[in-house]
Amino acid sequence: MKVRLLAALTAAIVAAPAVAHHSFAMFDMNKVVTLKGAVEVFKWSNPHAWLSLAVPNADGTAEHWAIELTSPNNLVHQGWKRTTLKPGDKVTVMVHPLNSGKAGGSLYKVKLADGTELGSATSQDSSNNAK
Amino acid sequence: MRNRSAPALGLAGLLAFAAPAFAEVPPAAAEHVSYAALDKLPDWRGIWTPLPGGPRSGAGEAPVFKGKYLAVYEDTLRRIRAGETIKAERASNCTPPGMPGIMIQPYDIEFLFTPGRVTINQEAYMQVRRIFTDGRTPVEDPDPTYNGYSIGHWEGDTLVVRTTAVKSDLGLFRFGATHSDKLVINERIHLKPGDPNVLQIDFTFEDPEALAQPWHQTASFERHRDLDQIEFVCAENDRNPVDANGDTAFIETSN
Repeated sequence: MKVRLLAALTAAIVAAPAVAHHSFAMFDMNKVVTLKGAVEVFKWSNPHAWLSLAVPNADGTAEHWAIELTSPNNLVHQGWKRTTLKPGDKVTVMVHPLNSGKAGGSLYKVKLADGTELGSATSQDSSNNAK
Repeated sequence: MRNRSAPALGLAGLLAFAAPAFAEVPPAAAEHVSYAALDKLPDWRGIWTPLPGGPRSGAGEAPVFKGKYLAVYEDTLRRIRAGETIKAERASNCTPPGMPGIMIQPYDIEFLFTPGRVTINQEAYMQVRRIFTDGRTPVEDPDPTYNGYSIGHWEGDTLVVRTTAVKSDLGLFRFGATHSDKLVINERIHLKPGDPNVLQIDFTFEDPEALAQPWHQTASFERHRDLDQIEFVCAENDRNPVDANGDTAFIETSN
């Protein structure tokens, strides 16, 4: 049993990353930051859909977060449309933040104004389950 | 004089460039072909999404490398165990993986049958793989390419493919798994016995310089007849350039 577990762990680390574009090394995948703000830009584009979110500061200014999602090709299988987010929409966004400390990250989950929650799984392995 | 000779040289250059096109026409490109044989081929219509497990998870048989390829593989495993991040060694994150990685992307594939040829479309980066099944004489010493040069034939409902001339800097499924220019990738592509909505690709890798013995892997896919492939232009919004150190950047600008 122990040997089998070791074999499984070894398999997991030698496999090349299951992403088509870049690895997630630039993000802290163990951390989730919750942001409440307004959509500025939502780009329905490859290799990543893209969200710019204005998060209000206490002093009335706004911090602009740059957030990448997986591709529209994967997102459509997880309930997303190009019209899911529109400029001005008030949303709650959970991201894995950049390791650099800059205001950016990889989208983990979004909660829309109507309460709908959508994720951004990075491969069709997970989206298959939803089909 | 100079002006007069320029077009003549240009024409000569054009003829020299065009000459290989007059070589023997391969059967699949012949002026007249029969489509009747296609009726006998198995139904692989729809798009095929990758199932979990298989080469993408690092599961199955482990490769047995030798020589300098073994040293590279073992050193890479050591670095991973030490917590080091292994960088993708490519100039752009929009560079396609080539063979065999093109067959295990986290996106779907589809098969097109035309006389003497099977075409595989990979949704990620809209990659195209051509497998010639027209019995042609293989090109002698083809230039190495991302997807290599694939010759195939049908054994019943199984497509048997032999691919050579794959660029030798692309790797084999796993971190640190590299190969020489002698690599041969054999594939047996077929529906899973008893389950026509699952497609399997059985790979056998052979490389007299890099592998001590043939390496076997199997990838599986699930059929979706209700979906079409979606366009994927990687350069459209690629905010992740690779810097001189091989690190991937993240461009934050909002437009």
